[in-house]
Amino acid sequence: MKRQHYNTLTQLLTAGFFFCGIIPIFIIGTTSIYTSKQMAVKELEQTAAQVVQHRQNVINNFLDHQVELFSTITMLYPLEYLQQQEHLNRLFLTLSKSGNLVDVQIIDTNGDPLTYVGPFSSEVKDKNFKDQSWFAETLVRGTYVSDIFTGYRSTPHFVIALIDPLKQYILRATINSGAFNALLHSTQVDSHGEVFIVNKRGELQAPSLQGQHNSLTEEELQLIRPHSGTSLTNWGEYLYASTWLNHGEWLLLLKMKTDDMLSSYQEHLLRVVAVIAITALIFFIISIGLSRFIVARIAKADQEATDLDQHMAHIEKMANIGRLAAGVAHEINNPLQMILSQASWLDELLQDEDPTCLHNLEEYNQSVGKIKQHVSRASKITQRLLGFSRKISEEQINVQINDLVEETLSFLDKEAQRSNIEINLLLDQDLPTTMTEGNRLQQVLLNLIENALDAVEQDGKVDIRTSHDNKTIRIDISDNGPGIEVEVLNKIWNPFFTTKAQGKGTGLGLSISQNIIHSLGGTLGAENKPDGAGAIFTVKIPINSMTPSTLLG
Amino acid sequence: MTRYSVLIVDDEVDFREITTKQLTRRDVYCESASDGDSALQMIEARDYDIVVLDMKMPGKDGIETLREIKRLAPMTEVIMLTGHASVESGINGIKYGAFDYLMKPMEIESLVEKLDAAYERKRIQQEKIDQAQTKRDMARPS
Repeated sequence: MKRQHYNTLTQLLTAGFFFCGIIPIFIIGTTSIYTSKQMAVKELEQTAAQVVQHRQNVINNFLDHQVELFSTITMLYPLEYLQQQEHLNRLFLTLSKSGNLVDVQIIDTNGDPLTYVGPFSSEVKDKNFKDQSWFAETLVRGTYVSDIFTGYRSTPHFVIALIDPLKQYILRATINSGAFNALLHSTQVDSHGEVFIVNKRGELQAPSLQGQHNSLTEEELQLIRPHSGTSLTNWGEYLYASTWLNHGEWLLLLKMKTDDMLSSYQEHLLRVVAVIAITALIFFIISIGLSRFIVARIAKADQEATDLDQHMAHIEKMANIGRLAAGVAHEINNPLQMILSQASWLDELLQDEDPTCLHNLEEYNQSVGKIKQHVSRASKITQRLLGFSRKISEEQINVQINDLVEETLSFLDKEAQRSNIEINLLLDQDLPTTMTEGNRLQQVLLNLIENALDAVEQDGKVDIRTSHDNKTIRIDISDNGPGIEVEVLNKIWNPFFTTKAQGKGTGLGLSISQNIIHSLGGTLGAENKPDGAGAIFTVKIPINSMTPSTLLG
Repeated sequence: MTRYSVLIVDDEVDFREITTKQLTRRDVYCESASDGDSALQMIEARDYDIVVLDMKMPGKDGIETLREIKRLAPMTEVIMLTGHASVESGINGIKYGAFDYLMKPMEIESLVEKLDAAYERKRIQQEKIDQAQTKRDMARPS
């Protein structure tokens, strides 16, 4: 019950200490993780934005460059010049050195092809472009850059078409999109990143670097919306950076898996978690230790308080018994006095009688003697009862306990011899003397030795041992009797508790003895021998040196 | 011819009667009183050598009566009786001038012993007083 209580207390304290210690660290750790994640994400976003801008510049430059190149050509050469196949051939040779150019075609404003240089001359020769949307757009806007398409040419390509300043012809050039792809992926960001270009309809204009994407997901399609500059979007575990290219025709998309990009953050996270775990462990151990220590202290204090309470209760009980006993003794002593006086009176008068006339005289005499004897017995009991209320302390004298033991034994020698009891004296020859109330201590020793003699009965053995340490003198009185039953071991100190036969003991001896020893500042205890062969009563009294008054005297 | 006179003060009539009988039989002049006040009246009326006084009585208690007796008749010896058997009350009595104390129950012999001793002291002191008076009388020019 009590054990349980202390265990619960220990657990509560442990939990309390642990949480008090760990909560701040947990908060700091979590904040640190959060902040570091924010920073990492921000950094990632910056990187993504930079990459996207860079690509935008590169690709825009490329496109602008191409457009500019062809617009320069249209400005330099009139239709008459380019209508001649050899002139266009020469121009094509010059331009295709960069390797990007697939074919070049000159078309008149009606959409009829005029000249063509390139690998697909048969396919385009007689084709009229008038109905095609790009053609109309070129006529209106002057410049056109198509989406990338496979078209009837099997490789991906895109088309640039320009109208000459005099609006006489249209120059159409097909640009190899492979070269375009190389540009797109030219500066590698990170193996985790994906870069691709889509048109307004979400069609992939260049294969993604990882080759994982052939088309956009539903969600990704929503990214295709008008915006200026670079737009950043966090979607689930991905970060998208997008910017418009080619005058708002194409969207450059950078897709990065956030988690993969946050490796420094992951490391930090691991570190923080490890620190929190280790700290928690340390706190846990400290909490256990601390709470056990505190609970042990509390338990000790409780025990001391309980002991003190018990001691106080015992003292109070003794005081009450003392008052009661004194009252009873007084009331009984008066009638005892009367009985004794009357018996004495009878005794006196009987002496005057003539033995010849009173043939029962002897019987009367005997009877009177018995009355006196039993009054004396009753009177002894009342005297003992009064021992409780005796508060006056006797004179403190310097006592050699060894001598006191021997003197006490001399009173009991005859009784011991009669029952053939062996008494062994194991006296500490260096036993110091102590200032104490010799007579009362002797009363206790007498009582204890008498008890021992009663316990062993015929042919028994009683050992009396004295010993000492710095502060106390110890007297052990052990017998080889039946010992004390465990159930009554606590009760033997109670007044009127006795195991002796009716009329043999008053049940007051041990109780008074303990009172006396307490008043001498000592302790009186009883236990059974470990082997169960008898009981040991132990008296401990403090060693008091000479009192100041004795020194003066 | 009695040896000396004793006044027994005790609230128990049986005790007074039997003790009176016992003491009378031992050539002691014996009277008794049941409480402190009547004892004091008797002492005023007549000199007793010794008063045997119970500690605990209704009305005036032993110690109080003792002090009154010592005031009225300082030469009278007092023996205290206590059923309480407490040493304190005996010592207390001696402090106020009692010759000695006895614990109940006691044998008549112990009482007689104490009475004899008390009377002996009284007698010796009376003698001393008588001698001193004689000396003073002789020293005084007639």
